Amino acid sequence: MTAAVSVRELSRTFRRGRRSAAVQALRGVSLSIEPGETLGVVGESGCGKSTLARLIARLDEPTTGTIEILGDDVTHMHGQELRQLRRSVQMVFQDPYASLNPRRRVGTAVEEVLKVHKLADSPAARTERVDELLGLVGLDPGLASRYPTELSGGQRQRVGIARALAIEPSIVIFDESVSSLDVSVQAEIINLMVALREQLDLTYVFISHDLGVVRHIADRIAVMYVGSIQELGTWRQVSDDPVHPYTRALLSAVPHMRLDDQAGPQETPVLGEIPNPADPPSGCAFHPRCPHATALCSEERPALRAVADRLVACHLAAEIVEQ
Amino acid sequence: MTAGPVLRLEGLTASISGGGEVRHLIQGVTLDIEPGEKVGFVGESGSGKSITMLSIMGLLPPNVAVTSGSAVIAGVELAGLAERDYQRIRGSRLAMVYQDPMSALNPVMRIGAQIAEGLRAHGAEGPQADETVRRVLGDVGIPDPQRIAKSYPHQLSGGMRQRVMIAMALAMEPELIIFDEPTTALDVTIQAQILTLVRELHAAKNTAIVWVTHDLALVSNLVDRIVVMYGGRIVEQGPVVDVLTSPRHRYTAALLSAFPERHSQVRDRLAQIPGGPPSLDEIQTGCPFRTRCVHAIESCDAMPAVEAGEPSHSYSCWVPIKVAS
Repeated sequence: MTAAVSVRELSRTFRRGRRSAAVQALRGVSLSIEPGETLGVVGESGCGKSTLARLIARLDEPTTGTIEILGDDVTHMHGQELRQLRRSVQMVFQDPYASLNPRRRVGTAVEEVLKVHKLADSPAARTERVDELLGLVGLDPGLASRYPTELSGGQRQRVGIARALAIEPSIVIFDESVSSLDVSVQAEIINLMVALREQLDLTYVFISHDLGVVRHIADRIAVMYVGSIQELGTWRQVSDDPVHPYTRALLSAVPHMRLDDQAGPQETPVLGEIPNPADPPSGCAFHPRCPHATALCSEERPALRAVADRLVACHLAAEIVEQ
Repeated sequence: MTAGPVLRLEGLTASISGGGEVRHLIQGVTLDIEPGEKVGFVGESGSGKSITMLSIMGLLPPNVAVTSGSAVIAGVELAGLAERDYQRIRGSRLAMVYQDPMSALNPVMRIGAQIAEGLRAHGAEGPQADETVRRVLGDVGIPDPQRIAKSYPHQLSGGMRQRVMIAMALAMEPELIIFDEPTTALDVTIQAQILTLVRELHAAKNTAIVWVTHDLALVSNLVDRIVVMYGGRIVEQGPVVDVLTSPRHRYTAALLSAFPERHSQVRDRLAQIPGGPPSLDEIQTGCPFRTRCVHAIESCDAMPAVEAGEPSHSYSCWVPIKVAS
């Protein structure tokens, strides 16, 4: 079976002028996503998760490495070819306030996508398709004549999803798409995403800093730190039985609802700051904050290797599993 | 005056006026905060939690004002207090740590000078102020306070800037510190560090804390008591574990079930709350949650009284969830 998405040794370096240091936003990421699968990508600021999303959507071009979408090499596509690729891969952004033109009616915003991609030839057909798309995301077609400011945050995010689905992509990338929503609205949008995935056979890349949300929706989870994948496994492996010390640190930092009077021993949070991607630590990027770090960790960058049925980039992974 | 609550809110109501109309943003907010107590204010956007805090701080926007009720801190009535008198209270009795330190700090002033400025405004002399600056920066776990005092805000990370804000709040040893979503913009490992810091500072100084957040899980690990706000009202409040395990108000229960469960092995559809947050018009009378509540009855058109449940657990609901006895 051809992978929906396959990236190999993907790197992206940004330069802000000759004097300033190059920022390695992504440092050799390889992964593949099967059709119909949802890959969750979690990590903190500067881990490269959004850069990875933008590269898969080809909103950006990698410095080195390759990107294949449904078997086609799209790494350096441009022009007409790239427009064709957009038919397969769509992205939904974090801020529905920022991604909709405030002076354009909701219906027009969705119709615009159909026009750009020449998907319905008559105005009547377009209007019909707009109604259908709004219905698909659970919005009353009557909302088509409203302006974005007249909608709630949840409704606006639904419009964002309708726009992404307008051209019937097979892959949808959600970049922090539920992060700015209130919990009650977030639940509603997550339920919608899950329902649409089944209904339309979609492949998802779900980027978030919130492990709780990713755990709910992803089949597999990739944990990123300072530009590379630290651990990649099924949602259960990564979120319930992590191996990499960073995944463990991340997990123990996520607050759990306290349901009994025993506050329990407070876990000591991982110390130190997240490194600046312009000046990453030598060896394993996590070694300065890692409680297990040895001399090797500061010298050699660990490769992503199979440990306990998942992939882990840690020199000490095997020993950690044995403990 | 040492006995009695640090802060007493009674029927606090703040309203917005415009176009000849006066509409309430928060109504009848009543609550005592005891010395050394840690209280979490929880609510979604528009619940009134921030307006409540700004009312206490005397920092409401120009078209919003406290229209009735009272807020008393250390024997001083804050409602209607003149700005000059308020300035004496802010910082010394009452301090606030904001969500975004970058907009709360002056970008062109060194960290040390900013902290000292507040101290001097409250009467500290030069060398004494500098000494306090170094001490409070050390207290919040900032390595090398001398160097950081000479830095500008942009030279620090988000986590460090938030530590500076906490140092500023601590500088005059107020009775109460309000934390308004102080970790929302931080990464989770840094958030955990700030939580640990606040816990340690509380253990050392016993300052009363109000922590405002939309994250129930986060606040449950810090505070003694949770106050749930919705549509400008306190709908339920009580000891953390009571409220989280046996909520009485329908909104609290709905909110709790909408969280993605972090331990569950099955991933069912998440519980949704039908409809959206109420409009300003919808919350003027009656229970603010009635338009989204599947249990609403006719009585809900009038605001329910505050019912006392178990000791110190109270709620305002006509059709509360019954506790299994």
